[in-house]
Amino acid sequence: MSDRARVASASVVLIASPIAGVRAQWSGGLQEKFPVYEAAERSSLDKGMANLKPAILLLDLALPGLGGVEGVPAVQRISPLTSIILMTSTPNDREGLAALKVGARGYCSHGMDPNLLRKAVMVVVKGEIWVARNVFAPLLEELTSLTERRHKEFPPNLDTRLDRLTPREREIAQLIGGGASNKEIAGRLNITEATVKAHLTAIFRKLGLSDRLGLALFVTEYNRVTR
Amino acid sequence: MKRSGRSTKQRRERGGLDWVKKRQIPIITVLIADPDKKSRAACVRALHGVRGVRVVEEAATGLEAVSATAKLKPRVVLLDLELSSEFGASLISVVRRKSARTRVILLVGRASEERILEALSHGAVGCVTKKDTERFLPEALEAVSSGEAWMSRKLIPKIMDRLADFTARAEARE
Repeated sequence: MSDRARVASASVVLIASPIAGVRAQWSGGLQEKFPVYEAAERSSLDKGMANLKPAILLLDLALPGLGGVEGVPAVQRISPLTSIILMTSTPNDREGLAALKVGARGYCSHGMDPNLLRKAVMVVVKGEIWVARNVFAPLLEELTSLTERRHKEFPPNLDTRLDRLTPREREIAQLIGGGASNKEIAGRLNITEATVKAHLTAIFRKLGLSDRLGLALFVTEYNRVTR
Repeated sequence: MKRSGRSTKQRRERGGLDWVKKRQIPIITVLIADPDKKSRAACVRALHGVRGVRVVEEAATGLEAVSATAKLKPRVVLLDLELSSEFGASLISVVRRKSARTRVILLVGRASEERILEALSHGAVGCVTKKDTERFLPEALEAVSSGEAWMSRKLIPKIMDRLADFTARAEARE
């Protein structure tokens, strides 16, 4: 049986926390839906991951020997297909984001309501990610700033719909925006009028425009707005 | 398509004192930018009577949206996803450059995850499907204007993929 099939058919949940009361609380909400196993220390966690290959691991970040969020990849390597949900007594946005970045599929509070925890586990079993809503904003900030940084490093020629055009087509679009005729453009770029027309057809198609007046307006308005 | 005159009149009709009190709480000003009249009307309906929210303008094109944002500096722009691609997803960057305090929520008609992600990468912080405007729009406005993001958690794995992709590229360059 492949690892994936074994994981999918069993949906075993492994719970790892040093505190017995916490383990009992978590398993309380899950037992009726999933076979639940418990680990109280690092060595039994590793053994459980290796032998059970659980679908889900609820992992207490305070587990001795784990080393916090940074220790998660080492646990993940024991059973790569296990979805790890990190549990913390002091949730915060930045740690939530760090948890996702090391590959955790969830980040929850210790004291989470048992019914909500069951829902979180079910969502993660389906392949989704469960984090508190307040982690969404830092997540998007990161995405936006990385995107912007890349745009700065590799600037798109024009930061717009004109992106879809080739450099030649962009040049022609700008000339049309300046009011040039096909003949003038042909003369200026040292190409035939037929070639200019072919470029124009492509430009109209890419920008969803129907005529050169529309294109001229688009280009001039674009230049005005973005400057 | 200026709306502020009408809403002021409506407020006055509701009674003087109440109106004065309402002006005390911070108002979330909203610009609705969508080429589809029906979509805009649905948003207006969803926000009608919501305390602390005022629709200040409607725009039907990307250019109208940009110039209205520059002029009115609304707290939130509700931006049709199709419209946002009028300038590439970077219409959102343009809007943000024009008014730094403005937050963009996408209005999504047909699902197109790739384009939603593109728009989120350019700085949109919310995403509401058009059929859910009545139910979720007030909540989404509240969330984004207090600094949170509003979107389906289903998008998160895709966002993580993108972040991983950035990391992989950065490593490949080193």
